[in-house]
Amino acid sequence: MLIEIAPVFAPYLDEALLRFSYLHPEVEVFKRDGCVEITNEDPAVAASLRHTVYRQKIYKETFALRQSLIESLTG
Amino acid sequence: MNVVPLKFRPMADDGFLFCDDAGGFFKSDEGYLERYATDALTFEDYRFLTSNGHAFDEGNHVARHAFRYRWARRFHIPSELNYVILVPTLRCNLSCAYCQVSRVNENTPGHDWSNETLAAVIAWLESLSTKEIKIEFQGGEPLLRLDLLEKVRSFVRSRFEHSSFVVCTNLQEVTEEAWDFLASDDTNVSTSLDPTVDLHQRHRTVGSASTQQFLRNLRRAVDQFPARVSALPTFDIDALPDPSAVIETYASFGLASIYLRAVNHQGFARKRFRTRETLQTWVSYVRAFIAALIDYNWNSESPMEEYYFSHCLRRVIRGGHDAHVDLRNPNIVGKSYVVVDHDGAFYPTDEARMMSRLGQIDLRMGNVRDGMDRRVVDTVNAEATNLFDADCIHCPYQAFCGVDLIDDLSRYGRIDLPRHETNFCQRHMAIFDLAFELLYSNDPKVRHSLALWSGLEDIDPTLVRVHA
Repeated sequence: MLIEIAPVFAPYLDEALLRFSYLHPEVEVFKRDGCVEITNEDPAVAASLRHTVYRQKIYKETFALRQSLIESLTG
Repeated sequence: MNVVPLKFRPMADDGFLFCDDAGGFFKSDEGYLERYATDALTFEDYRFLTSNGHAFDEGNHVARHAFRYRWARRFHIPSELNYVILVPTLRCNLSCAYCQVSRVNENTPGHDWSNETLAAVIAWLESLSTKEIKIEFQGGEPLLRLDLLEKVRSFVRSRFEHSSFVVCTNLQEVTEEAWDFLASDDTNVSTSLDPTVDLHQRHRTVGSASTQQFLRNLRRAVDQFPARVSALPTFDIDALPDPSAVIETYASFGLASIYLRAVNHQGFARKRFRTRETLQTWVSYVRAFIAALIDYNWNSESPMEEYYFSHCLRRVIRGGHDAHVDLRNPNIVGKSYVVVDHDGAFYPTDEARMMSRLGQIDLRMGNVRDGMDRRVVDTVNAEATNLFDADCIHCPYQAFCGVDLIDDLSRYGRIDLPRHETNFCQRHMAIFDLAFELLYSNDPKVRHSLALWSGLEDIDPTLVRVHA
């Protein structure tokens, strides 16, 4: 199954796929131009991949805010 | 505009749950998720996020400070040592099939505190800096050494400004002297009452006469000091009774709280009962049990709770619910509470004591004679938070959840297994899934029980917001 990945997620894709592979070791993942191919036809697995990409972007983009809040809490 | 990190998870009914690090949450749909992930939030989105505490302007120091406060409330800060579990004897007058603690037969010598150990325990208690202390007597069967309990309680009462006591007893053989001891207002009774009387007899008392003796003692305890008696059942995953039978058993003794507790993997019981690959069966049972309690409470004037689900529910609703030692974040062990074993050895938890007895890992922290040695435990404690865990950092339940490294060590012999593969994680995912499923239910029966269990008058709509 081919899953289209919007350009806005490109900077986070490698880390997200690494994480997805560890969460779904039974699924093979291939990075293609502008999309990702997985060896699974289950829509739930495709959704899981998209969500993993979303989560990685959210995590990275909010890291500085989270860090500053933790630092302000812990002194 | 700063939007704090939002972690999400699909809900059973096709919506999505979003939670922030401080435990704020709301429900929305895939459209919102797409907008959030692709930096396409609308004015209405921002307005909602701001009103629900997930976003604030850079210069809005009050909103930022409020978020930090809510986040800080989610962390457990260990107090000074003020909770001590004492094991004056390992001897027990029962031989329960799924005994969760280490025990020896009643007539076995050499498993009680010696006079020297008692003196060392007293001297160590004397050295504590706390003004308020809780002492829990465990065993074995602690009432076999009522003399030791009396000496400790008498000393503690005179030494500390505030003190309270729990006697974890099987209530099998209770002398009149022991009843007098238990009658004090500062002393609580914690006993075992299995899911049904039949199961109690099968696994604990064995004979009918012993069962009747226990039941008479339990009846006397709940009649004499009803507010100070609690009972815990133990469930065999391969013999789960109808939930209504368990509720009936507990209700018949006026006990309002049931703790669904499966046979403990950490103790000797795992040799005789299945404790692995039981999660799906257990989770299904918990769901059925909660549903049965909801029905029961709708028609009963004496509502009941399932302790652990209620505890998790309260942790969802607000921070600061850290009374249960197995669900804290960070879960620092060996700091605010310790176990003193029958030989005077310190352990961080009762489960750690069992693991040492099984020869799995030695987590002793010194002893009452030579003092504490925290080196091993502090190594474990360095990992005792879910805050930076590679899996938990993406989990919407992170703020409500915690870690239990002793459980991980017991089950897997290590503490670095991917979180989602652990029993602890899978079990708590199921509990929090159920909690949110029920929080967003419109069924008046459900809302009635959730309000009772969470300590609220009602589940206010502003608590469980939905963003369209």
